[in-house]
Amino acid sequence: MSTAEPLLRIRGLHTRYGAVTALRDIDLDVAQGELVALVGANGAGKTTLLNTLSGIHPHSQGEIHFDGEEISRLKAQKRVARGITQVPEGRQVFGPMSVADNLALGAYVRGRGAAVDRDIDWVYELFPILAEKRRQAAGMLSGGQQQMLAIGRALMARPRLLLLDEPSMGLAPLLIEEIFEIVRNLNADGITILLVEQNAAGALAIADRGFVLETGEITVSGTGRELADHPEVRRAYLGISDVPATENEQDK
Amino acid sequence: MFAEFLQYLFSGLTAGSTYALVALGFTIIYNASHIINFAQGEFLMIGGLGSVMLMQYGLPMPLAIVAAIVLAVLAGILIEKLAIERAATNDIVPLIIITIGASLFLRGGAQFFWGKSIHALPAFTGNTPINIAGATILPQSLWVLGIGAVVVCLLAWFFTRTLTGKAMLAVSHNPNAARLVGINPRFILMLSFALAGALGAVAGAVAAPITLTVYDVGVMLGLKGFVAAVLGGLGSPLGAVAGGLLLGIMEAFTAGYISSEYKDAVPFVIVLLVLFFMPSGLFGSRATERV
Repeated sequence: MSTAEPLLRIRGLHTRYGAVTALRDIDLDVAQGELVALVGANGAGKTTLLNTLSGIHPHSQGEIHFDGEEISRLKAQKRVARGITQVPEGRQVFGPMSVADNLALGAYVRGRGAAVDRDIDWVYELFPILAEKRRQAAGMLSGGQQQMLAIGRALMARPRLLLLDEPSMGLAPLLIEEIFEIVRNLNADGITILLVEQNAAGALAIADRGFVLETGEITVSGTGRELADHPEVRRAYLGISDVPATENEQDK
Repeated sequence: MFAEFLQYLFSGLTAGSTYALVALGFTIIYNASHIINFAQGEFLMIGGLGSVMLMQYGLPMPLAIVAAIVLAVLAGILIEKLAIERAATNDIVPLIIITIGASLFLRGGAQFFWGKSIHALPAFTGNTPINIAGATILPQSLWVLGIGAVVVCLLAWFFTRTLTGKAMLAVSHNPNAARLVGINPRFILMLSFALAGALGAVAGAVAAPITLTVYDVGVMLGLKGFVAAVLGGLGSPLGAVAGGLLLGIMEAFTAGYISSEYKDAVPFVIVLLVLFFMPSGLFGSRATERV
C-alpha cells in the first residue's frame, strides 16, 4: 500500500455493552479504493464494529480517523454526510414504503435535486429489477431484491466508504455469487468497501485484504489470498463454509 | 325519522372530526417514538382557550387563532426538548409518565393565568343553522368538518410527498435503518411534537365555538382522542381518522337513541371491547415483511 494516509484508520478501539467488552483494542486501516473483508463467527463483534463506525453504537476508547478527521464523537447523521454509509445486516429496508421512496431516503442527507434524480436512475441501471418494481412496497420484494435495494439505498448517499454487513446472509448460492459480483464491481468503480461476512470464502476471494475477528479481537490479517491460504482460517472458517469446493481449489 | 338520523349523524361527524385530529396527534408521536403523549388534550385546550384569551387581549380572531396554534407548537417543542430529551432514556414508560406531568403542568398554568371559567369562542361565520333534508347543521360544524378534511389532506401530502414526511415514516418503520441513512431521530421526535401541537390546537380552536373551552377541557377530549386512536389501530393515520369519526358517530347515536347520560361512557366501553377482542384495532399494523 502507498504511504498516503488511509481513508479509514482505527486505533485502539474498544466498545462495550454495559460490562461486556465487545471490541478490544482494534487497529485497522482501509486505504482509498481498497476492498477489505472482515470475517469471523457469529458474535465475534463484526456488526458491533460497523455500528461503532456508523455512530449507532458508542465507542468507549480509541480513535477513528476518516479522511484525516477524528470522527469517533460525531453523530451518526454527520458520519453519513461525511461519506460513511452502512448496508445493515438483514437488509432492513423500509418495508411498507415503495422502492422509489427507499432510494429517495437513501439520499436524505443530500436532500432533493437533479443530482439525486440522476443517481436514482444510476441505481436503476445497476439493478434493473428495482426499476421494474419501483412502485412496489419494499417488504414485498424477494430477499435478493431487498439486498439490492439496501445496497442501492446506501449508494444514494454517495458513499466514499461503504460498510456492508453480511450481504450474502440468507440468500441462495446463485444470488450470493451475484451479490459478491456487485460488490466487486462497486469497488472497481472506485468505492472503498469494508465487507463483513460469515461467508469467508466468498468474501476473501474478492478482497484485497482481510482480517479475522474473534471474540472482539483481530487475530489474523493479511491479503485476501494469504488469509484464504492460512491454515487456521481454512480450518475455522473455510472448512465450514457453504461455498462449493471448486472455489476453494482455485486458490491452490 | 330520517331527519333525526341525519341530525345525529351531523353532530357525530362534527365531534368525530375533532377526535380524529386528536387521534392523529397521538399517532404521529407514537410512530416517531412509541410514546403515548398524554398532553395531547392540553394542545387542544391551548388552541381553544388560548384563542379566547388572545382575543381578550385585543387580537382579531384569525390572528388570535394563529397565535394560539403557534403557542401549542411551542409547548410541544418545549415538552420534547426540556422533558423528553433531557430524560435521556429509551424506556417508554417513564417518558409516558413525563407527558402526564407535562399535561398537569400545562393545565395548571392555564388555570393560573387564564382562570377557571368556561369560555366560548365566537362562531366563525354566525349561528344561523342550515337546513339539510329536515336536519339542521350549524355553520361552525361545517368549519370543523372542512378544516378537518383540509388538515388530513395536508398531512397525507406531507407524509407521501415530502422527504421530511417520508423520513418520519422511515423512523416509525425501522429506527435503526433510519439512523443509518442519516436521519436524526431527535429532530424527528421534536417535529412530531410540534406537529401534534399544531393538530391539537387547530382542533381545539375550530371546535371551541361548539364545545366551549375551559382550562381542563383537554382531559376528556384527550382521552377520547386516545380511544379513537386505539379503535383505529394505534400507529395508523387512516385508523386515527376512521376511529375518530366512528367514535363521534357512536357517541351521537347513543346519546340520541338511548340516553345522553351514557354519551361519555361510550368511548370507555369501546376501548375495553377493542382491547379485549381486537387489540390491534381496525387498521392496526399487520406484518408486510417478507423474509
